[in-house]
Amino acid sequence: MANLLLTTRCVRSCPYCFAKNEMAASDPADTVSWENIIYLADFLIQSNDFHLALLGGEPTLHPQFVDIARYLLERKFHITVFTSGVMSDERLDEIERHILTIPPDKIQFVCNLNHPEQTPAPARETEKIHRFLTALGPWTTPGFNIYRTDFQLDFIFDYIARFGLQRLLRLGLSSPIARQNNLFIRNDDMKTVIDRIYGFRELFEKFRVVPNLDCGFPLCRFSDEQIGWFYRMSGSVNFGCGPAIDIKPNMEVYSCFPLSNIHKKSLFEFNSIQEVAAFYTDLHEQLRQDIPGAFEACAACVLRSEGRCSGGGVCHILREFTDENADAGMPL
Amino acid sequence: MKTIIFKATDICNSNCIYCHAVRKNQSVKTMPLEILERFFERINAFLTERPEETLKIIWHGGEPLTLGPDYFYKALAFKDAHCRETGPRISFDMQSNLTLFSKEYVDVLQKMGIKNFGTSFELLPGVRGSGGKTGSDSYNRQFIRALSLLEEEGFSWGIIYVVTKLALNRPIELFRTLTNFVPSTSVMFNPVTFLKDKPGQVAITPEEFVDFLGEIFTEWWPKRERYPGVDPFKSLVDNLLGVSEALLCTDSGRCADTHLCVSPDGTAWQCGRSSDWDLMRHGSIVESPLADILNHPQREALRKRPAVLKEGDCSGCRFWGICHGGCPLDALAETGSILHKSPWCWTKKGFIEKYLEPATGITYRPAESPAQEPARASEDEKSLPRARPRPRMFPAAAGGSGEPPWIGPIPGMDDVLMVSGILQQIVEKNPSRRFKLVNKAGYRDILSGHPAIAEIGLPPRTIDPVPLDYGGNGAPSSCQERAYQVLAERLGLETPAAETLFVPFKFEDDPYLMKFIPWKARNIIICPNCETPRKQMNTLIWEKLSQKLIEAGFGVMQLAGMKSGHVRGVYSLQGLIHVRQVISVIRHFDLVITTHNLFMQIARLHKIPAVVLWGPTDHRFFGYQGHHHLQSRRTCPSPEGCIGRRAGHIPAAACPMGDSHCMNRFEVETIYQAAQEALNR
Amino acid sequence: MKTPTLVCPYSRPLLDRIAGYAMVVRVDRFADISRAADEVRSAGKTLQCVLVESEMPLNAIDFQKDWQGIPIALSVPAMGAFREIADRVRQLADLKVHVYLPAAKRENLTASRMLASLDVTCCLVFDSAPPHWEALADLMTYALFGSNPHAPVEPFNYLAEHYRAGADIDWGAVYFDDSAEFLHLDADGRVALSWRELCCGAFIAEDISLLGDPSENALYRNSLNTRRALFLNGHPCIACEGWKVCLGRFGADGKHRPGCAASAADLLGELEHYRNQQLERA
Repeated sequence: MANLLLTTRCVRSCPYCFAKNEMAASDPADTVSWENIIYLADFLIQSNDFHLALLGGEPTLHPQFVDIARYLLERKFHITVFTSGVMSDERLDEIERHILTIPPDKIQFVCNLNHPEQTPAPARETEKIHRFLTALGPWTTPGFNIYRTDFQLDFIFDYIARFGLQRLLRLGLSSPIARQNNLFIRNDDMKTVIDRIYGFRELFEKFRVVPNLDCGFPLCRFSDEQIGWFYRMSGSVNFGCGPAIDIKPNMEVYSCFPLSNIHKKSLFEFNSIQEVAAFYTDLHEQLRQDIPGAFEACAACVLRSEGRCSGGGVCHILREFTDENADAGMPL
Repeated sequence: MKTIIFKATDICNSNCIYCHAVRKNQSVKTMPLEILERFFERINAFLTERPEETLKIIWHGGEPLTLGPDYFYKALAFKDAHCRETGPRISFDMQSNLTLFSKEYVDVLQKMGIKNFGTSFELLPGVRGSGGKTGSDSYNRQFIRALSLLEEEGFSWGIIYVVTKLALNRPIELFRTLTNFVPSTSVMFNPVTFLKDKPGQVAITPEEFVDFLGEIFTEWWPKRERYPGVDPFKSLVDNLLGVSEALLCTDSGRCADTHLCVSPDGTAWQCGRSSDWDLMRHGSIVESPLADILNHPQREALRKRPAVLKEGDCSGCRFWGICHGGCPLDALAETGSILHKSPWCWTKKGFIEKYLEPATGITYRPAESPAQEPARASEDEKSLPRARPRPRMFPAAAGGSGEPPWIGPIPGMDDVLMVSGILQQIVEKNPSRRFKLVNKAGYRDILSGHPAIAEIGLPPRTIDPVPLDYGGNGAPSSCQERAYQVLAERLGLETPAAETLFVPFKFEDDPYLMKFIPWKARNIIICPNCETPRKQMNTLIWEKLSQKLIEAGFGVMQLAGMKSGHVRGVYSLQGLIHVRQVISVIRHFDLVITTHNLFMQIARLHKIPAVVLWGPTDHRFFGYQGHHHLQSRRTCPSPEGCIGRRAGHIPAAACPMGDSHCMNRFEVETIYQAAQEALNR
Repeated sequence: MKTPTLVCPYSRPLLDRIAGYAMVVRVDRFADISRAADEVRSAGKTLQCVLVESEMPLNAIDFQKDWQGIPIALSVPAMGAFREIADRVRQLADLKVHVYLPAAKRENLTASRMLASLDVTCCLVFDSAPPHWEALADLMTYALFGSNPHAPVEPFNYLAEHYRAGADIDWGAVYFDDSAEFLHLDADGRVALSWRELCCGAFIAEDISLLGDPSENALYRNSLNTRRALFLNGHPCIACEGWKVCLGRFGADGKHRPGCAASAADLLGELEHYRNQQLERA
């Protein structure tokens, strides 16, 4: 599934934001055009890929967000919208009127939620998020970005019940951004983070919420018991790091947000999304030939060599083993 | 093939400034008919002697259309008369300014097989026309009118544009205009040529012509597919690439054998230009057969010209194969001898070297190594079967010995507490009585540990479990006015039986759950979930109802399965907890608002007030006293309901009435009022 | 000239008088679409199309089920917000409705692409105001080379089908306005060579019954030379690189439309490329 940035503008300023690099350089006019949307839709259909994630910035800031979503739905796409939930009443009203007639299996929202005390937000912002969740709860999967080791998750379970959210929690590790200073989880803290997630297992079970680990979790930092629990809850556990395929409004494409500074290409250079994925997968592999993983032990790790773990994220590899201020000499 | 430039007339209705026909003022202006006839006799004789030869006659002039249609008919008649055998080897073409073309010409021209006209057009004022500088506009209007008629009659045409000094500073404009003007882009650029005393205002030099062509070529080459008919470019490129070996008469080096001109008085000339310039006269068709004319001594000299030039003027020139020294008439006019190269030779050599080769990447090589072009790139209410076989029932005395019988509940959870209650009554009356329960989804969760159930599982294939359904219309009984009684009778409990419900476990609260639920002073649980879409009310109605209840200060929570839609605005407990905890937690609520489902039974179990919404099923059959029943009006083809007694089991398919089905006919206000009444009761 | 198709207003008496011609019927109200089609067809006449012009945007029009099977040319000022038509766009695609949009509004170029991608045939109408040439060129590329199957975007589709190297292409037929194929009638049955001439009252016959063979008609014959006559007065269009695909459509009225020449030349280039692609595939 490719990710399309409808706009690079955002209404929030999260301390961990791995999209910071894109947001910082955003031009207010940097919103995707209809021409590019139609091109991308054609491109993906040609690639036989009918899934598309709409990202930002805050994607709902695109003045024609609702039209875009409806258009893509009419082109038979399944859409996932990654949103902060912070939007104008007008936009929310539009979404309610024109999108909520669509069943949740066609369009889904992933709302990245911040803990109200650990990552405080202005009351007005919280109010808007609640309004969004009240309106779109059944269409929404909660997401949580971990950028500190003492994170709290209990508020999300309350949200799930209060707003009827989907029973799946996307847990993302905040990643280091090449050439940027953002808050992120360091390799040394991975085990602490995993233990802490596992510490919330009773709530996950009680609320029948599936923990969904995003990319970059290293297998070796899980105990067998933890792996078993995650597997039992979700049916699969992801220890990988592969190209996400993020596409900017101007059809620039890169592997993922943390690597948005590196090896940007234009979608127009490719014939299919599979070609794009292959291109960035190849680049990842080139890098890993020199530096197999984010940890010293990765080099000799059997599980990594057998492909069951990617040895942490490429962004961590760059952070740990290279001078992040210069990618010269690196394959990426 | 031989080509005869046939100047049957010197008369022209135009007076172009570049026309340099010095032989204009001859006494015989139009070929007399007797010479015309003789001409065809000569042709026939020539072709008869040469059975492989073909001959093209190009009507030229002057302006051939000044001859009038009759002249052409006569020519055709002479041809038919004298060339009966050889006629098929004779073809006609015409070079005309077209301004005199009319419908009268159509027939005869078609009979002559003429399909294409060579003509001329000039955009610049005062160049072409009937009278010096003044006639261009009217001339061109006539020309344009003629083109339309020509095209309508199915003829095609192409333009030879004569490049004069006046045109030199606007090559691209002229190129575009002319190719826009001619539908087929058939445009040929020729330099204006003069015998002598070159008029300074129109004459051009070979260098000027090369640069003129060069500018156009630079435009033409990348777009040559758009302008397929532009010459000399197309012919030249085809020639260089070996696509075609054809060369113009001026370049072939063979004009002595291929061309001939006949003027009005029958004089034979080397070619049209020689006729215009009064050079290279080769006798007369009146006096000599064509074969003799073609063997004229001057022609013999002309035949030797290539050999002379190849060793002389043109020695070592790599363009020899496509030029052969150029037009001998030009050489003769300039030097007085045909044994020199044409002074216009630069238009080939210079053009290719200066423009063509650099622009195309093609390098011309002599014929031995041809040039290479660089590579480019319903259950419609098909009713469930209404007539079912009469259900098997337990005899009242059955059981007590042998294997416990298997009982099979109908799908769904709606009846589980009834079945449980009936079984409890049976076992209370006969403690040794046991049943085996066919495991249906959810039943084990509630009924495991039930004192009357010996086993929950799957029966052997040979066993046909007793179905716990309502018997359709095949089981009339005095007890069949209530669902509970029907099931009691099926299970062998004496009816009428007390309609008590039962669960085989103690009520327990989940500490997490109790902590999370945002309790208020009075709390209502809504239960929109149903086993069938036919019993479901639109979520939007639930939302509006909930909103109203919340605004009235109630705590409103939703209980349902994981797959049910969330009612926005309420606190959702859906799917969070085990079914036993669901049954337990409901006792903490003040009111249950539900459709016909398990939750209605739970409310009855806890003796909690309930508002129950009924649609396709009948509250009189399934409902309980003490509950507030709202029964919807049915306007569908099943006025007595589509589920239950005399109807059928729970259909998975949605109601064919769609959004207007009976469950969506409830008014929010009605439900709200019922809720208030139930709470105040 | 082959037997022309008559473009006429919806008038029962007029329709009754016409025989032997295929017809394009112009209606003023949506309610008349199926009525006009029924009347033409029930009289055994060939209905080529029903034309209807709306002042409402496309998203405000209620597409009727009884339009099914009727070729309709629906002229609207704009599409309107997509969200308002999203639920009905499939219906529109299933109907034989061709949506005509003014090319002068840039959003209509985008709308055409959107609708075409959803299988709705669109047609750009070039009026006195110039379009955004760059966006038009981009749309043309999509129309001719879009990687995914899509409905035609006219006039590009027509041009691609009729392009022959070096030949002139008149795409007036897209608008039922090519005197070689269509004649226009007013309610009284008077005949004009084009819609514009009909509006100006420039008739070539006072009644369709008096028309006879159009190719014998002097006014008709003169009209054929109108375009070539531009070559006599030094009109700037005659030296335009894009002439063969424009034929003075953008500039013959004397209005200056900067950018039209380059755009028409681009179009010509794209058509060539398209043709070569087709040949390669063949």
